Amino acid sequence: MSPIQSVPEAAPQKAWEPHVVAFLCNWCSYAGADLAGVSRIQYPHNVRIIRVPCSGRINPAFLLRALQNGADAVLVSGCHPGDCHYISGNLAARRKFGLLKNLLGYIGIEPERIQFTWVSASEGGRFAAVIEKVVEQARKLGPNRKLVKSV
Amino acid sequence: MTASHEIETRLRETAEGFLGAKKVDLFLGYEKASLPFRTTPVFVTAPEEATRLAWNPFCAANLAAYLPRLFKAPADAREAKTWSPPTVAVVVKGCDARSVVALIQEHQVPRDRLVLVGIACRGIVDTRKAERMLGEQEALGAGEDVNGNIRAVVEDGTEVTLRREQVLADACLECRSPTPAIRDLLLGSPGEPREADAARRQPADFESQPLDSRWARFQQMISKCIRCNACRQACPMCYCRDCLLDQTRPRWIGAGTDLSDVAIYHLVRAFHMAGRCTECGACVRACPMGIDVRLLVRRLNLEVEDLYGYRPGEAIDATPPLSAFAMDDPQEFLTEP
Repeated sequence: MSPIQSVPEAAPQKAWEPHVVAFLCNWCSYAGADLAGVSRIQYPHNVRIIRVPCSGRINPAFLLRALQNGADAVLVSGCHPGDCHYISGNLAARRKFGLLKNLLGYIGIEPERIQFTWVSASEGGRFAAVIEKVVEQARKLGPNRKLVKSV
Repeated sequence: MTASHEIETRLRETAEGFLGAKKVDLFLGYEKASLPFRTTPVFVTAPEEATRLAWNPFCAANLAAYLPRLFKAPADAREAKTWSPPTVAVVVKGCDARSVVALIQEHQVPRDRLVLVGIACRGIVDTRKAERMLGEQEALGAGEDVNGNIRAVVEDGTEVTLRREQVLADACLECRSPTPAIRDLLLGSPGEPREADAARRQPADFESQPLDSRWARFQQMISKCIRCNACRQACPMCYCRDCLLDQTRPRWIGAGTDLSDVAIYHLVRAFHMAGRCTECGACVRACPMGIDVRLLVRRLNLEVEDLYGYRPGEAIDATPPLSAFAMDDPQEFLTEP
């Protein structure tokens, strides 16, 4: 008869790490991220990149969905104004983004959860710095619990 | 004779004239409903039916909401060949006229097929406010007195007078152009321009609170929502054939009353209205749960006005700000490393 086994201890909990979803435009920001990679610039690995044709392609519903599905912060990055591959996609997007960010703040979502920036194809360093900042802010805020859907 | 009564008489004459002369195919207006404080939309197509039309302080519905579907060509190609858009006369208050203008801007209705019968509006009664003021007593009939106050006959036969300002809808108290700016004719005489801007800029009471309590208040507000989509259906600007809410691949917003889904529903609905909402209050009237569904849109519209100097529905040739852009748009919200 074997002695009563003690209940195995639960595996030590991993420290919480923020998840950041980044929507990058194909022509500037995605190439900027690529440049950061080939230049071996280190940046936090908490970011998951989604490539989109243009920042103007982004429907605000994408960002809300990301937050709903557990992203701790969402980042959108496009070409600098005037450099858009499609001439004006980023300009049309800029008006939407400003309103969306303020609207979320209005109902009490931390403004750092939703961030917008411009990164060009030659700005690998800037890309890494932006990611660092966004991840750092998300870490400070802690897990996103407000919009998350828990089933 | 009250001002409303005068307008009603002229409205009937106008409709009879238009329909008799075959100037319009359809006259869209209001009809007395079976309950006090209420009216119902009516589609008049024959001159002898013009007497059904009514005008009183209870003509709440925004009739612009019916217009896009009247000008939609039949889906069947053979039918579409012989179809020609009708000419429609529609009774519009200030807010309804703004909705019509926004629909014309967005190419949903043709201006040359519309006859806008403008009415110098003095504000519409919020049924809920009136019923709340009557308390336990149920109204059996309602009307307007010569001073513009609201008279209600209650159960025991007595008459109660309600001060007009106390029962007007919030949207009406904030309205800055109650007389339609774009119209083909005007019934009634426009009153003194009201100082409604102050009411409009009144911040919602939770605006100054910290993020977490704002979120708590927002959640409390939307937790009443049963996702009936009435606010969408009532809205004259919600005419999309394929609404984001109805799409299933992907299903953008879950259909249930999970608080997260409800929050996203209200955010998305409000966001689509930014710089387009003409603030007629149809959504608030439609909400069976008494949610202030205008809250977010109101705030967005104020922001659009401050940033881009644009008020929805004021000029047909203006471009709504979210359909436009400028090189030097504000961008302080951007993240800089």
